[in-house]
Amino acid sequence: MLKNYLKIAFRNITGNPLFSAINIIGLSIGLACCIIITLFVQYETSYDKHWQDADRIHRVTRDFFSNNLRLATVAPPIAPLLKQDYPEVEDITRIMSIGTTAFTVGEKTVNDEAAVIADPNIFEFFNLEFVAGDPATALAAPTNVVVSERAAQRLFGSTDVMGRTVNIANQADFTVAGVFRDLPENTHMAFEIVVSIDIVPIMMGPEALERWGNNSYFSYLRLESGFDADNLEAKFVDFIVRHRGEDAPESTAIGLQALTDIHLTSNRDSEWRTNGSIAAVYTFSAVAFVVLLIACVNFMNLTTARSTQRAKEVGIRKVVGANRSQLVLQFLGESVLLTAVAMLLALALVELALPAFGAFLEKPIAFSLADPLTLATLVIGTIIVGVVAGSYPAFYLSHFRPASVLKGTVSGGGSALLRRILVVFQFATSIALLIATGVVMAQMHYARTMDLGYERERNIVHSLPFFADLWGLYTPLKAELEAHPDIESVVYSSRIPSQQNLDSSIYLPAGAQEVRDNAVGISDIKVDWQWFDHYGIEFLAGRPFRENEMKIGEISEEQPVVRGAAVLNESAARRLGWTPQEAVGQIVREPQNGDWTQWIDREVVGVIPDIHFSSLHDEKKATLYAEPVDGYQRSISVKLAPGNPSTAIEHFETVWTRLVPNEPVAWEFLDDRFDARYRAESRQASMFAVFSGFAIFVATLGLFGLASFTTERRTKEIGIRKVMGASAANIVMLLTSDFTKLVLLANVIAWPIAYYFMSQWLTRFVYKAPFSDWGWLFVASALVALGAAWLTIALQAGRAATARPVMALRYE
Amino acid sequence: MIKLHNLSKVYRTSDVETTALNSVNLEIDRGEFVAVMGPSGCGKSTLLNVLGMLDSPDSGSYVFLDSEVSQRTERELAAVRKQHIGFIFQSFNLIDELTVAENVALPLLYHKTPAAERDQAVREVLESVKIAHRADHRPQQLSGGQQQRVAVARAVVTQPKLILADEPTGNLDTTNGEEVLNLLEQLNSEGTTIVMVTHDRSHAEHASRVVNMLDGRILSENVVGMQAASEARHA
Repeated sequence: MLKNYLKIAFRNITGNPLFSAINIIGLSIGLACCIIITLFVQYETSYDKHWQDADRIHRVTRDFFSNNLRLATVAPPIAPLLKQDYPEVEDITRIMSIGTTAFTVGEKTVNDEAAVIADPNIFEFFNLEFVAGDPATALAAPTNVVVSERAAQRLFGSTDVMGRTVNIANQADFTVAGVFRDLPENTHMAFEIVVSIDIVPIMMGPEALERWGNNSYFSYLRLESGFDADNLEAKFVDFIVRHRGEDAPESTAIGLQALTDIHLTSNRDSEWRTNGSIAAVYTFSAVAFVVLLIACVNFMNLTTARSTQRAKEVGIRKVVGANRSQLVLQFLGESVLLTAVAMLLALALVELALPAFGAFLEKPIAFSLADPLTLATLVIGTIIVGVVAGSYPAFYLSHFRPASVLKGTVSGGGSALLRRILVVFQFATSIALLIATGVVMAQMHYARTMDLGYERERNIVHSLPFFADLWGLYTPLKAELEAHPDIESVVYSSRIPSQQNLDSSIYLPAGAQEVRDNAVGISDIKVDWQWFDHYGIEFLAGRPFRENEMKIGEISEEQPVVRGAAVLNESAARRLGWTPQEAVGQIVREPQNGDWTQWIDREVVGVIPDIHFSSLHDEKKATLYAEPVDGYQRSISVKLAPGNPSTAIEHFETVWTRLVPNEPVAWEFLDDRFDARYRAESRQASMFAVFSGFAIFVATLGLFGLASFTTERRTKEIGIRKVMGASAANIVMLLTSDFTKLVLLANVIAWPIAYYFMSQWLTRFVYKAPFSDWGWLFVASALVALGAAWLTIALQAGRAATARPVMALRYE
Repeated sequence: MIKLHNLSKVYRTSDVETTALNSVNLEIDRGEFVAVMGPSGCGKSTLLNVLGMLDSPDSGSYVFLDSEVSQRTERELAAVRKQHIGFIFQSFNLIDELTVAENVALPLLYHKTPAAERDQAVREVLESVKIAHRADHRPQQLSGGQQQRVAVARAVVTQPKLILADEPTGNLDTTNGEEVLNLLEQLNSEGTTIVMVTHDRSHAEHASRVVNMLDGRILSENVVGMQAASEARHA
C-alpha cells in the first residue's frame, strides 16, 4: 500500500512540474531560512553556557543615576568586599581590559587589544584549559604574563613560549608563565593576554585597587550552590550604605547579571564588545517562521485549487473500499514526501549559504548532519511541516463523495473564500516585512548622515594605547604634520568622536551655598585649544579657547586651588543652572580630593550645542571640555585637505614613525569608525532585507501558481468573451482585477501592523528617523506588492488573452 | 440480497427540489442480472449509487445481505463496500497515474491482501478479461474497450457478491460493448449478482430482469424472456 501511495505521490509530483516546482522551491526556501535562523539562534543562545558552573556565576554591574551611566564594569574594591560581606559568595574574580597596548618582543613591537589585568584566580574561576604552565600559579608573580595560543603565535610566532619575555606598554618586561587554549567564540568576554592585578598597585600607586571612582573592572562572582542571585541583590543597598555612606544609594547602585544572560540581554556602557540582541533573535525567528508559513500556504492553496484533478482518484479509491482516514493519511503522506524533497533541497541551500552567512555575521556558525539530534530534528521538522501544509488539503480532498465526483458534478477547487484569505495573509505579511526592512534601512541612513554637530569628514584619527600618551611629543608632531600642504590641522583630545565617553567628574558652580547639594556629575573631555575650530563646532555663546589660557598649575597643600578655563555644552550649562549666555564668565569648580579641600576653578569661556559625540545610540551627555593633564593626550585627529589623501597619509606615517618610534602607526578614517558603530544594525538590516525578499518571492511564487490555475479554469470563458469582442487588454484586466483587490486589502491590513511594530523598534534609538523619512515606504511597499502581483498574473493572463479563441473553446 | 422499501432521495438546491427516487420498492435476489432502464434523469444512477452505498437515501429502508444499511456510518459503509461490491462506470474511472495492473490491484491493497496472492489474483483476472499483455501500460495508452475491460477486472478482482455497472457500454462501440456484456454475463453465470444501468434495450436483453424507471419511480419489472414473448404476441 505504501508503495502504491509513493508511486501516486511521485507521479503526481513529476506529472505537474509547475505546481511541484512552486511547492518544492517555496518550501525549500522556507525550510532553509528556518534552518539558518535556527542555527543563528542556537549559536546566540549558546554564549557562556560552556563555562564550569556557568549557572552560578554572575557579573556585578554599577549604575550612576546623575549622568545616566549604566556600567558593565565596577570599581575594584567592590567584588572583594562582596565576598567578605556575604558568605554565599563562594569566589570572585576581576578583569580589566587595558585596551590597545604596545607589546615588544625583541625588536618587534605590535599593538594588541586583547590584553587584560586580572585576579590570579581567573583561570581556575573559569576553568580555562592550559597547554603549558600551571593555572594555579601562573600569575603568582606580578611580572608574569599568561597568553592564549593565538596570542602566543601573534607575539612570538610559536606556542612554545614558556619563560620568554615580552615588554608591555614600554613599561616593564613580563615573563610568560602559562599558555591557555583560545577562548571559544561564543563568550561575551575577549582576552588573550593576562597580567596579574598585582601589577596595578605597583604601577599606579598603593591605593589604586581601593578607589571607588575607577569603574573599569569586570567583576564576576560565583555563588554557593542553592543561593539565589535575587536574594543577594536585595542586600546591595545596605552594602552601598555600609561602604559609601547614607546618601550614596541616591546616586549609585550595584546589581547582578547572570553570566549566561549577558550576551543577549545586557547592553551596558563599557561592555567587552557589542553584544547580541534578544530582540534580533526573536525577530529573525519570527521572520523565518513567516517565510515557511507562506510556503505552507502556497501548498494549501495550490493543492486545493487543483483538487478537481485529484477528485476522481478520491472517488475511485472510495469506491474500491478506501475509507476517509486512509485517504487523509495518503494525502498527508504525499505532502510529507514533497516536504522531504524540499528539505533535501533546503539542506543543499544551507550548505551553500552557511559559509557566507557565518562570514557575514563573523560567527563560526556550523551545521553537521552527523549529529543525531540535528538529524532527528530535521526528520521531525519535515513531518511537522508536511502535516501542517498538507492537513487542510488532505481533509478537503478526502471529503469528496464518490457518487458526485465520478459523475463530474463536483466543481472542486476548494473554498475560494479561504484561498482569498490565505493570499491576503501572504501578501499582508510580505508587505509588513517590506515596510519593516525599509524602516530599518531608513534609520540606518538617518544615523549615518545625521548632522552630528561637527564635521567628521576628511579626518584620520590615531589613538594611543593604554599607558601611553604624546606628552612632550605632541608639539613637534603637530608642527611637522601641519607643514604638509594637504593637512589642514592637527589636534589632540582624550577621546575621539565615535568613542564612548565614560570619563566624568563632579562639578559645581563656584561660590554655591550648600556645596554638596549643588554638585553634579558631568562627562569631561580633555582637548587641544584648537579642537572646536578643527571640528567646525559653532558656539552658542562665548568663544573657543585661546592658546595657553587653559593651562593649570600643580595642585598641592600650599596651592589648594588652581585656575583654568572650560567650554561647556548646552546640557552641562543647564545642569549647572545657567543658560548658555549666563554660563559665560562663571566659574566651575572641580573638587580634587575626597574632603573637598583642593579644587580646580575653571572659567567658562564658551558654550557649544550638544553634539553627538559617540553614536545615536547614546544620549547626548552633559560635557565639559577642558585642558589636558598628564596621560590624556591619547589621541590625535588630522584633518586632510579635500582631494586625494594618499600623500598626506604617507606624510603622516613617515612623521609618526620618526617622532613616535615606540608606537606602531595605526590610523583610521573617522567615518569608518562611525560606520563600525552601526555595524550590528547594518547587519540586521541586511539580514532582514534578505529574509523579507525571500518571503515576497515565495508569496509571489504562490500567486503565480494560483494565477495559472485560475487562467486555466477560465479558458473557456476567455474564449467566449473574445468571440464576443473582448480585447486582450479587457481579458488581462478581468483576470488581474480580482487579485488586485486582494493585494490592496493586504495593504490595509499590513500598514497598521507594520506601523505599530516599527514605531516600537524605533524607540530603541535615542535619535530616530522622523516619519517623513519612512512614511513613503508604505505606499512604495504597496506598489512593489501590486507590481509583483500584476507582473505574475499578467504573464499568465497575457498568454490566455492573446491565444486564438478557437483554442480556448476546444478546451474540455 | 437487496431489499429496498419506500426508499426516497431528494436533491435540494436553494430554489429547486428534485425527487431522484420516489418511494422505490425493489428486491434483488442472489445470482440475478438486473438491468435498470429509463430516460435521462429518471433516477437510475441515483438508485445505483444508493445500492452501492456511495449515496445515502433520505427515507425508507435498504437491507443489504439481511442487514439494514441506511443508518450506518461512513466508515462502516466503506467496509461493506470493500467487502461485497464492485463497480463499473461508463467513463471507466481508472487512475491515470497507475498502470493497468496497479489499477486492478488497488481494491486488493485496501483489502490488505498479501503481495504474492495479490499479484496472482491480478494476473488471473487480467487474463480472464484478455488484457494481461497490457498490464504495464497506463490507462491512456489503451482503447476505450480495453479500458473498460480493465475496469471490469478491477471490479471483480476481490470476487464481490454484487457488481454495480453504470452504463458500462455507454462509451464503447458495438463490438467492444458486446465484449463487456459477455464478460458480465459470464460473471453472472459464475454466481455474481449484477445490477446494470443502461439506455440500450438490446444490452438490457443480456439481463435476466429489466427494471424500468421514470421520474424516480419503478414503472414495471419484466422478466426478459416474458417481455419478448409478450411483444411477439402483440406483433
